[in-house]
Amino acid sequence: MLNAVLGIALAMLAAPLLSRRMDDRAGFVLALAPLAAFAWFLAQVPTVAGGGVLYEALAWVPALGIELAFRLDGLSLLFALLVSGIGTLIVLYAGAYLSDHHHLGRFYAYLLGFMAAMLGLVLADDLIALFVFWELTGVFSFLLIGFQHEKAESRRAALQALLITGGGGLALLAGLILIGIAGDAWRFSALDGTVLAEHALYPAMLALVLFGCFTKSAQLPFHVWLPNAMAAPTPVSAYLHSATMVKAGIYLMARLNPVFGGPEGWGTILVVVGAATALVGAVLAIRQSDLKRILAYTTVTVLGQLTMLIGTNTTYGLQAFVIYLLAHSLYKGALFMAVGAVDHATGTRELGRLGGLIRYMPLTGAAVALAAFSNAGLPPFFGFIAKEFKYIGLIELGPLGWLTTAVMVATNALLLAAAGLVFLRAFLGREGRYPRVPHEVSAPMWAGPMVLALGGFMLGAFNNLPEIWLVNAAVQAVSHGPVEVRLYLWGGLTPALLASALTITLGVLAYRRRQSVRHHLARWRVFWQISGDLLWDRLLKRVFLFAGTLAGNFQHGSLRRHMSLLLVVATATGAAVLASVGGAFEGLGGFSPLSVAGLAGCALAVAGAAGAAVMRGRLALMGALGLSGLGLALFFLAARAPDVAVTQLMVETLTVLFLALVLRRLPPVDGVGSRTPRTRRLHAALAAAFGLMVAVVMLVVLGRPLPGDVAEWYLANSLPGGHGANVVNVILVDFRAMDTLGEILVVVLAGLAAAPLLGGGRAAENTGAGGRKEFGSVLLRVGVKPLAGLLLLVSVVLLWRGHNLPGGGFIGGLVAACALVLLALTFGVPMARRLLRVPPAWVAGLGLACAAGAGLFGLAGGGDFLTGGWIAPGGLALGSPLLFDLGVFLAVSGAVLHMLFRLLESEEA
Amino acid sequence: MEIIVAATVGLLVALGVWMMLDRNLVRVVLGVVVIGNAINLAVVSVGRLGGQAAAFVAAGEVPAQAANPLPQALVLTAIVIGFALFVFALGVLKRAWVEHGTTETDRVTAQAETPAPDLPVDKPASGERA
Amino acid sequence: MKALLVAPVLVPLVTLILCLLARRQARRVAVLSTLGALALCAVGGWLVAVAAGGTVLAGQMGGWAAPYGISLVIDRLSAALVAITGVVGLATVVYARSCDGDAAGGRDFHLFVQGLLTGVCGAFITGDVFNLYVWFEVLLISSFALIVLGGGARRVSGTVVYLFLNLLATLLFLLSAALLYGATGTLGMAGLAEVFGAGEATPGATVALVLMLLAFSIKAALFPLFGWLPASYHVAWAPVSALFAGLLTKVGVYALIRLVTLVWPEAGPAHGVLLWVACATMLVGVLGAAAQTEVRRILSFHIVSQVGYMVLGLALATPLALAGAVFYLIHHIVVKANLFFVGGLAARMAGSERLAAMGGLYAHAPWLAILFAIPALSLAGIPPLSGFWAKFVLVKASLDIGAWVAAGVALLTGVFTLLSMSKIWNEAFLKAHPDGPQALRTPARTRPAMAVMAALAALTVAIGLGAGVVMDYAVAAAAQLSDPAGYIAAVRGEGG
Repeated sequence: MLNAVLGIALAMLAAPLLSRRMDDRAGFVLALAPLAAFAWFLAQVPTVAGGGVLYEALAWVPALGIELAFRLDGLSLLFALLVSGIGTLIVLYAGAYLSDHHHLGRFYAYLLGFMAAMLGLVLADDLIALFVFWELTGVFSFLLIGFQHEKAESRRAALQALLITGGGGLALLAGLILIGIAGDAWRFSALDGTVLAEHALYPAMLALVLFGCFTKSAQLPFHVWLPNAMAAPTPVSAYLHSATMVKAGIYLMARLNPVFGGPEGWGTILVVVGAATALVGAVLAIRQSDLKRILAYTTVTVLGQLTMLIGTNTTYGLQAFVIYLLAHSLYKGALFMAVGAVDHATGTRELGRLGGLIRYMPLTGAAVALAAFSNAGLPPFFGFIAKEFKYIGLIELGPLGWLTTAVMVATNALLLAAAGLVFLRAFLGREGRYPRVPHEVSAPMWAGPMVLALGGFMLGAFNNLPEIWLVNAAVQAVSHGPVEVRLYLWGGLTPALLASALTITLGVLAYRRRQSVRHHLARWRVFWQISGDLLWDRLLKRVFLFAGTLAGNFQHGSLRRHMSLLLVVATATGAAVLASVGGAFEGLGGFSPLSVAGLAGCALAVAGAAGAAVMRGRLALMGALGLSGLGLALFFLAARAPDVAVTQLMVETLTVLFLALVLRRLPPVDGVGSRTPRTRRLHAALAAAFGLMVAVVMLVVLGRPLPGDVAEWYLANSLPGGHGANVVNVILVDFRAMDTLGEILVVVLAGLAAAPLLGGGRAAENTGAGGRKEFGSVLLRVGVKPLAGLLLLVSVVLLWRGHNLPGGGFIGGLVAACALVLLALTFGVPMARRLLRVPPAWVAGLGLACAAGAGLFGLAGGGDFLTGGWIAPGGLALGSPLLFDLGVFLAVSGAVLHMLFRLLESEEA
Repeated sequence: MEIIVAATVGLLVALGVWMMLDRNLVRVVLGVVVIGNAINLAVVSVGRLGGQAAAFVAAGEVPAQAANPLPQALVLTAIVIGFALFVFALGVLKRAWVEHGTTETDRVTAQAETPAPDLPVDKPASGERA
Repeated sequence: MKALLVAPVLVPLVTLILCLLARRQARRVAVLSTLGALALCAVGGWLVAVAAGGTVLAGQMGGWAAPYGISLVIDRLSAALVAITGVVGLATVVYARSCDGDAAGGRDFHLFVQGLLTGVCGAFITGDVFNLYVWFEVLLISSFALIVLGGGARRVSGTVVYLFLNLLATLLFLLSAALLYGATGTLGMAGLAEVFGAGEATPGATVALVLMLLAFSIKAALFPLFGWLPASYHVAWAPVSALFAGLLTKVGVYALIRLVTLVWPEAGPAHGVLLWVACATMLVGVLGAAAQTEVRRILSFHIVSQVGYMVLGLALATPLALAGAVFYLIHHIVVKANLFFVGGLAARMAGSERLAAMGGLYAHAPWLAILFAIPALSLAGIPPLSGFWAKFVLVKASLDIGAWVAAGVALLTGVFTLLSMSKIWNEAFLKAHPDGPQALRTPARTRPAMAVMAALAALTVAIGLGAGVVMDYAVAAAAQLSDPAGYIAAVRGEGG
């Protein structure tokens, strides 16, 4: 079975290529795949008819218990034969119908892909495997409906079909998962109806699965997509939307009937929904004038009737289901193909313009006649047996059955009238006005309808054949308990026969009086306003409107609104956690004593920040910011962190320098806060709330003693393990060197990233000619050179001694950068560049290489990355952490110089 | 002392956030610096501020009541990273001025929400580079 | 093994250094970058092979035992993410060759891409919270550099939003990391797991942790903090958008998963909050996408929606749900990057990114149509592609524990995702180009781009068809995640 599916899938993949090579004849080759499958399935008929069931399984996702499992019993065999058999005919038909289409190869591919998926669907035994194929049929249907993609209505119809069946599919998935959970098995063959019925989620399962089936099989109110799907080329309509895909839901309901069919809910829902669908479909069918749409609506009707029949769960009901399924596929497929032939030959499908075609298209006409008779339910066609058994089955239901039978009689009468329309009106009678002179179509196009229509006749006339070989096994597979199957044409004068006779009479009457029937129906104008299509458009529009409003809330293009939202959420979260976590404010204490320097530092920091927040002049802003940084440095000193304080000072200096260089080219900073006082107050409140939250959280954390011994360990091991007395430096280049590695990477990347933004263009970099000097004072120029030299020396000393005394790679690197910047400011950038010889980016890269290389020493020595390796030549401790520090030095100085040089150059250019 | 620090951090954060919500992009960038300062302050104080001696173990003797060296190392990293990010932000500020001709925050950020421009015809593969 | 442990960071770092030293020669830089990305793929593959056997690679940097030194830990999740990062990095670097004519790709593009890869891989393998901050900064600054690459008013505008919101997030991260140390005395994730697992977490520690998770949530673009993403992703250069889409938010998601599974392995109040956040994210993201009319804007909102799925897996807190989250992470990185690649090429062919101004691509470039259809269908959850299995596992996990709302939201989001994707399909591919078929261009040198997209599409199909293998891996990874003791033991074992 897997081979059958795979074979067709292979044909799908080969289709575009073959089509390009062989043009029209590709269809003959490609049809071999479904033909082979059909033959194989036919060969399995004796086994299955004798009661045997074939299984095949392939593990797919063992972790979830899902397998690609196949099962061939009566029901799946019937469907498999239909899918592959009709499929073969359709492939041939499509070749002739679309013979001049430039995308024929793609069409074949989609068609064959659909076929493979549908085949997989009806053969699947694993719940999830079935779903996979279910969705795949939907995807291929989408591609096929939208085949004539230039037309907007094709696209719309395809989208509608996809969304409705896709949405239903997702509900189906939920239902299938629930079944799997409840039944503790993923196989249809392993499901037990009683276990499921007792499960608490039984109603949900039922509802979800039925939702999926109803959308796929175009039951009320989801039927709207089917008539619109007629925008697809006729082969698609003939295959998918009458014989196969729409029957997928029916198939699943039939497959689940043995499991769900016991309790009342299932049956009642199916009968009610099915009957309603059938009625609506039939009424709508009569109103149409396009042949394809007539057929589409009658298909809706039949789907409703099939649903209803499953729900009856009576002997005759189930037999009727199987027979009707078979009969309908045969005659509907034939009718659609014939309609396509008519369209192809005459150029129109409008009933008003057709008539007397039998003269031009005798073969097609004959096929249509046979099919139409089966459609109408006239003996001895298979359709007649179907109708008879349908009536018997319904009557068996009791009072509900009588009501439904009456409805069905009316429905079938209308169906008969529709069949009459298709055959009598189009083929017999007065000659119509055709856009083209009609001619009989090519063999593949009339052969299909003829074969199917003849099949409908033969199966009816020789009805013991299908009874034994097909119907029996299928019915057993569908029913909840054993069922006796016996087909016959004449069963005596039963109420069903009377009902059939009534149907035929009413149907003929309705056909004769079709104009007045239409007239009466049109009077129910109110009813027609509620068109499913209209509702669909409105629904989509509403959804998009809502989505637009929602999106608009986040796409306002205002950074400040984004930030306000972020702050609100952060404050709320912090506050919420503080409130909900127990005992946040208990036992807070153990604070260290006040330190005057620290207090002064804090005060300065706040004062500076406040100044930056409210002052307007650019100079004032820079000054305030610098003051704030100074305050911070003071605090760091008071907190006994000399390295940090010096670094803060250096960074502050550079910050102010950069600010100065950039701000002087920018317009003055006017205005504080927002324009409207209300926004200002809002922002102030936000800021205050957030600040308060942070302060409180800090207190909560700081109010308890610091756990652990990390600090003590660092202090204890710095000298013996790290060979350094400056614990902070040892942490940076040895204990936690990985952090520092990342950090210098950030600095280098930031330098490379900021340089083009600050500098704006590499033209300046290339000019070797002397640039404008910043300061013209002779004294300065004389004094700067030795000063710079001194600074450079200091930076190296800082680097060297950093491991044991305040200093280190950062500070050293920043000082070195300052030295060169001083030179650049005084003498111009080209001079500084010449002094450096290599581009600063290169220096930074070298720094990174040193740092990474220092780490590799450890790896080379068999230890972890960044493990320190020390040698002691002459009592001097040299180790890879020192190389690392050198790397930091070079990276930081290189990056800063890279930025500053570019910035200064842009000033000069 | 921790109470003072917590209050300072809270005030600085509030001021910094206020500045980041400003309508002028320059103040937004400065606000980043202020908040960065605040967070650095917080990081240092996390080691508790009871230390009386700096974290130096000269001659192998761990000083009594030494300051916690770990937050100091962390804050060193943070200061440098913060500086790197600040410089980039400054670059973006300058670019915004050059490209937009304004430093008004809302006017600058509104541009990203305009419809996408049509793409120019591809230049030949050996075209010039920035 | 010790070299393998640090290779995910070392390989892109060395590549970056080499590119930096060879900065003047653009061609050499491009070649180096490609080789480096290839090497990263190889490292990732090797790591996956090692991790699949159940080994948790762990080591201490500098040889210092935890919690004094920095730990690196690579379990199944980290290994898989490193491998996928390598793949996406390689894809981006190769794809960029197709965009060479575009002035945006300055010579430093490769530098910053390698920087981003370093940061991302570092974040995936580190076992220390402050180290995670440092790698976040590396990837952040690289992303800043990349998003503004090429300049232009619109790009700078998007950069401003991206820049300041992410700066705030990162400052919040730094604060919370420091506070976490102040409250627990350790910066190592294993140490945190021990503290929280033993119930010794002070209220301050819990608050600090939640603030850190908030910072991750901003980075991961969860509701309601995702605003920065749709405001900035669509202005960047095409390969950059794809790289961001594939990797950036996933680092945030990874950090969330790692930390939450370590400190709160059992379902608790945090998981309840995450569940609602995830549902809101899924819905708002996909509805936002439905309202957009430009290709990359649609895809950006979808990133938000899909992140919701991953966090849903985390929030449900069952091993199956975590397996779903892991599977989703892996599948989504590939699919999202691919969609952005396709979108970029489609825009160049049709001359615009606005759907109204696009069309006719199905006829003009059928291969592109197929290469769009595969990741699009995968994103929408159509079987048998990778997205279906990811969604299936999450829906099943929700239904298993009775989270009906979550399952319903997940399925509804699937319908809307399908709607979005088919909208792009209809507008950009099927409908005719408004200016006529002659308006469609064929850019020079599309081979690298096509090769990349085809490879990623093939990967999507392979993950879907071979879901058994990947699901086994994901389930095993989830088992590792559900048991912090294994993580702690790996860290302790190495540290001695």
